Amino acid sequence: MATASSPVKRGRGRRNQWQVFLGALAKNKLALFGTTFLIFVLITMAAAPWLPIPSPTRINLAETFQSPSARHWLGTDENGRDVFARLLAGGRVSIAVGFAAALMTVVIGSALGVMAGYFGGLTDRLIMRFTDGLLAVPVFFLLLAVVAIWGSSITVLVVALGFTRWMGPARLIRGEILRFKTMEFTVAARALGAGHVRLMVKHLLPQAMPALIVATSIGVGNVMLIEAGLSFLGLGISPPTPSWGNMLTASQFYMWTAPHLAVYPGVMILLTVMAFNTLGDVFRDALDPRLRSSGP
Amino acid sequence: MVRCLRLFAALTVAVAFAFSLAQDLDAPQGGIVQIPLATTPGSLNPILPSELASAIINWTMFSPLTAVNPWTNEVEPYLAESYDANDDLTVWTFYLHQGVTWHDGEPFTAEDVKFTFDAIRDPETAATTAPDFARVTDVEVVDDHTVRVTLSASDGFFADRLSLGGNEIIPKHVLEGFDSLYDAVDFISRNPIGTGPFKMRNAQPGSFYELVANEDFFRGRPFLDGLTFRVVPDGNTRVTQLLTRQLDWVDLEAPQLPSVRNNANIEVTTFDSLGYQLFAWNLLNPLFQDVRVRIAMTHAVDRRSMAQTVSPNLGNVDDVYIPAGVEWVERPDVEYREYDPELALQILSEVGWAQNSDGLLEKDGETFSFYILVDRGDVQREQMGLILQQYFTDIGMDVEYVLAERGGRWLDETRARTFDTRLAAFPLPNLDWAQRLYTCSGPFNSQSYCNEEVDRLFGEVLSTIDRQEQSRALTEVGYVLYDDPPNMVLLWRDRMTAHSADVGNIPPNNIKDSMPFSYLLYRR
Amino acid sequence: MTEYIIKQLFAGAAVLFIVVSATFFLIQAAPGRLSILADPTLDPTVAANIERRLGLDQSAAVQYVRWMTRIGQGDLGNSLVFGRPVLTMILERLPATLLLGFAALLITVFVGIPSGIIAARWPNSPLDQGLSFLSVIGLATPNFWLGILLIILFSVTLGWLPGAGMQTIGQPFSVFDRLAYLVLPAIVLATSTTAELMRYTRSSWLEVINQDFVRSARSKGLSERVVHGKHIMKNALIPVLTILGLTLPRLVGGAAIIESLFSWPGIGSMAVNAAIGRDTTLILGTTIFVAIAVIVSNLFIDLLYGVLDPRIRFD
Repeated sequence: MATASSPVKRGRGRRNQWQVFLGALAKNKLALFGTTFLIFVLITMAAAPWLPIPSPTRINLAETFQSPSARHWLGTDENGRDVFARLLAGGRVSIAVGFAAALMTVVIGSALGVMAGYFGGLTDRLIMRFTDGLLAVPVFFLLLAVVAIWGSSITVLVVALGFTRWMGPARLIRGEILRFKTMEFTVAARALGAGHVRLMVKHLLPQAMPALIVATSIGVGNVMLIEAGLSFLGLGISPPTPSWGNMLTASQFYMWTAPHLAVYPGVMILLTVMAFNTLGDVFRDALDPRLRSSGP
Repeated sequence: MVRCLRLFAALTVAVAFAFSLAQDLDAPQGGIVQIPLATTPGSLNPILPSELASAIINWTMFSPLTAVNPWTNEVEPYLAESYDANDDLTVWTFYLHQGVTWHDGEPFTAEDVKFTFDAIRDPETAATTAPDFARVTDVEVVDDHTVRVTLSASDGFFADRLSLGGNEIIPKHVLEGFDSLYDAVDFISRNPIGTGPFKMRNAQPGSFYELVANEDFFRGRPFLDGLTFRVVPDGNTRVTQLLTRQLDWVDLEAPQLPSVRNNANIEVTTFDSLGYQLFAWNLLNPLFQDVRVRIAMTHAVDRRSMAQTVSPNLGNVDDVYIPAGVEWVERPDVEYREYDPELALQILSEVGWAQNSDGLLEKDGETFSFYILVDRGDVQREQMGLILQQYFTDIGMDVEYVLAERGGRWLDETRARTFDTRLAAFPLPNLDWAQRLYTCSGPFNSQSYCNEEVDRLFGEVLSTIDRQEQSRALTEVGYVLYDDPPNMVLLWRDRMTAHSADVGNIPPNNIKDSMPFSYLLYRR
Repeated sequence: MTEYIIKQLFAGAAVLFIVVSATFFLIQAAPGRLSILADPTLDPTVAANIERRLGLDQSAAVQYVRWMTRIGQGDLGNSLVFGRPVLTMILERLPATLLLGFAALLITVFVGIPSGIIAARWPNSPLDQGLSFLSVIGLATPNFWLGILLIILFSVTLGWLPGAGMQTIGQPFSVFDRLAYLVLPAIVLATSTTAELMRYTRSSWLEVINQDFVRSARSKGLSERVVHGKHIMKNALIPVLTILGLTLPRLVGGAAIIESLFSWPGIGSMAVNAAIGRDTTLILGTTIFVAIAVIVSNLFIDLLYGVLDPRIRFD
C-alpha cells in the first residue's frame, strides 16, 4: 500500500491548494450553495450586535406569537422574544458546540491515531482494538445516561460527545500516518535526531491535516444533529441559552398554535448540517482524493 | 390583536360548552376506553413506591377504603362502607363492604386491610405513604368486616389521607407467602390481583395494558367492557393519538387546544385545579427575611399577564393560598397585589435598597443578587422562571436562571435548603398538605417558613373533623399567610382534558384522580 | 479462524468492561438520584428505606464490586426502578426493536445500495445529481423533526397511517396491521443510514471501476452488464459490508429517539427512560446486551467477508 511517490501534492504551494479547493467547490453545486449560505449565516451572526434587532433574551409578554414585522423580522415566540435574534444567538451556540465537540473528537482521535500509526506493533493493536470495540458499543445510551445525570451544560455536552465520537477520526488519521511514516522526509527527520514526540507532532501530524479538516467538517454536522436529538429527549442544551436544538424542541409544544416556529430552527439545522457535510466532501476531493473512500 | 381577542373568545365558548357536572347512572354497557400512560408503570402493587403511571392504573384495579369523588372533590367511603372516629380523633373504625371478592374469587376481609396497613408501616416496604401512618400504633381486626386503627395523637385527616393513592388494599392471601413484597415480581409487573372495577387481562410492559371489567365489582359492574392503557411518552403524540382515535382521553395543555377545537369527535372538559405554581423564597437567606422585600417583589411581577401567557384562558392568579378546587373552604377576602414596579421600588427603598448608577439595586455596597432554581421538564414552569427573571431584572435585581434536573441539583438544594429562590408546583389533594408546607416543622417546608399563628391554626384544623371548624381555621390561615407571605402564588391554572365525544361520564377532573370512579365511564 | 473469533470476543469484552465501568463511576460520582427518589414530597425516612433496600446507601466501590460480580456470573441484575430482572425486561422489548431495526436495515440495503449503484453507473448525470441531493438532505435532517412532519402529514392530515404504537390493541395479530404501524418509524430510522450507504456504495463502485481487472475484463470484450453485474458488484460490495456492521449500533442508538417519538415499545425508548430515571442497572445492562449483540453480529459480517473475498486472512 505504501506508495513510492514522494509527497508531491504537499509540495504544491498554498495558493495552488486554494485553487484546487475552489475548483472542487465550483464543481459541487450543493457545496457551493451550502458554503455561501454558511458564510452568510456566520457573517450575520458576527454582525448581530450591530444589527437593528432586539435582544434575543428580552421577554415581552405583550408581544407573544407576533407575525413578522419591521421590528421583528421573523415575528416573536411564546415569550414575545424576537425569533430572528434567537435564531442568530441559537446558531452561535449550536455551531460553536458543533465545532468544539468535533474538534475534541479530532484531538482525541488524532492523538490516538498518530500514536497507533507511528509506533505500530502492540501500541497500534491495543489502540485499534479499543477503537473498534468502542464502535460496537451503543455509546448513545451512555451519552444519554451521562448527560441526564450530569446535566446538559455546554461543557458536559462537548466533553461527552468528544469522548464518545472520536473513533472515526482516529481510524482515519492512523491510516494517513501509516502512509507517511516511511516517506523520505520522515526518515530524514529521524536521521537528524528528531525525537518521537517531535516527529509525531511536527512532521507527521501536519501531513494528516487534510484528513483532520475533513473529519472536523463532517463532525460539526453530526454533533449538531445529535444535539437536536438530545434536545428532543429533553437532554439538550439547557434554556435560557438558546440553541437550534432546544428552539426546535420548545416549538413542538406550540405546533398547533404556531407551527412556523418549528420551521425556522429545523430548516437552519438542515441547511447548516448540509453545508458542513458538503464542505467536508469538497475538502476531501480537493485536499486528498484518496480519502474519498475512507469515510469517517 | 383584535384577531387574538376573537380567538380567545372562541376558545372560551368552546370550553364552557363542554363543561358539565352531570353523571349518568343509566348508561349503556359495553365498549372500551383507551387511556395514555406517560411511562411504563413502575409497580402494579399500589403500596410500593412508584410514579404517576402506577397511580393511574392501580386505582382501576385496587380499591382504597376512602376515595375522593372527582365530581365533588369530597372524600367518600369506598371499600369501607362507613367509618367513624372517637372524640379525640385517635381511634378510627372502618366498617367494610360485605361480599367483596378479589379478582381471583377469594373473599376480601378485614385481615387484608390489616395486612396492607402493616406492610405500609414496615420500613422494609419503603411505602411512599408511610408518613401518613406515622401516628398509627395499632391496626386491629375487630371482626371480618371491621378494622380499628389506633393513633398516638389526634389526626382529623386520617380517613382523608387514605383516599390519596398508595393506600389501596392488597390481597393477603396472595402476598403473605413472600418474604418481601418486592419478591412478588409477577404480581408487580404483570398479574396484579385487586378488588377494583377492572382486572388485568394482558400486560405488555412498555407498550400497553389491557384490562377487562370485573363482573363482581362491589359497586356494580362497570359500564365498560374494558380499559386499555397505552404507554405514550410524548405529550404531543398523545394528542395526535386522540385525533387518530387511538386514545380516548388525554390531559390537554392550553397550546394544544386548537388541535381539538372544531373537531366534532372530541370534547374538552375544564375544571379547577387542586394545586398551584409558586415562587418560594428561602427564608434562611437574609435577603428575603424582611416581609417588605417579599411584598415588593410580588408587586414587581405582572403575574396576571404571565398567567395568561403560559396558560391562555386557563391561567389565573390571586394571593390566596388555598386552592379554589377545595370548595368547602371559604376563601379569604384579600386584595390582590397588583403589578406596580414603582410601588415595588418605593417599598424596597424603605428597606434601604436603592438603584445605583448602573441601575442595579444596592444596599450597603451589596447588590440584590440571587438565582431562581427551576426543575427541568415542566414547560410552563420553565417559561415562568424566565419571565420572573425578566421582571426582577427590570427593577434592578441581578438574577440568574438555573435550570436543573429534578432528581439532581433541584432536589439536593431543596432538601439541603440551600437554594435562593425556587419554582415549585404544589398539589393540594387535601388540606393536610398545606400544613406540611407551611408549618414550622412541616416536612415540605424547605423554604424554612415559620409563623406561630399559622402553626396554631393548623393545630386546630387537625384536631377536628368538623368541616366548618376546619374551614374557619383555614380561612384564618389564608389571612395570616397573606400578611406574611411564605411564597408568591404564580398561577392557578384551570385544567383541561379532551376526550372522544362518545365517551360518557368523564368527570371534571384530571385523569389520575378520576380513576377510582372509572367504573362509571361508558361508551355511547 | 477460531483463534480470531476468540481474540475478537476477548477484545470486545475488555472494551466493554472499561467503558461500562467508567460510566458506572461517572453516574455514581454525579449528584442526584433515582427517579422514584426524586420526589421532594417523599419523606426522608422513606427515601432512606428505599436506598437501603436497593443497596444505594453503600459506597460506590462496594456497589460496583457487587454489581460486577453479578455481571461476571452472567446476571445483569434487577432494574432499580422496576425491581425486575434487566434481562427479562430487555427480552420483552427485544422483538419490537429487532422488528424496527430489521425493517430499517431492509430499507437501508434495498434502497441504499441500488441507488448508489445507479448513481455510479451514470456519474454526474441528472439522476446521479438528484440522488446525491436527496442523500445530502437525508443526512442533514434532524430525524425526530422528519418524524413529526410525517406524522402530521400521514396520520393527522391524511389519516392513512397510525401515528404511534405497534399494533391495534384488542385485535388479533395481522401482518397488515403491523406493517401499517411499522412504515413511518422504519422510514425515519432508515433515512440517514440509507443516504450514507448510497454515498458509500457509489464511491466504492466508482473506485472499483477504475481498477485494472475491470479494465482487462472490458478489454476482453465482456458486456457492460457482465462487467457491472459480476466483477464490480462483488468487489465494490465488500467494503459496503463493513459499513453495514457499523450501522447496527447506530440503528439501535437512533432507535432511542424514534421509539420515543412513535411510542414504539422497544429497547431504545426503554434506555431513554432508564437514563432519565437514573436506573443505572437498566441502562448499563442494556448497553452491555446490545454491545454483545453487535460484537457477535460484526463477527458474522467478518466471516461473511472472508467467504466473499478469499484474499482476506484473519490475523
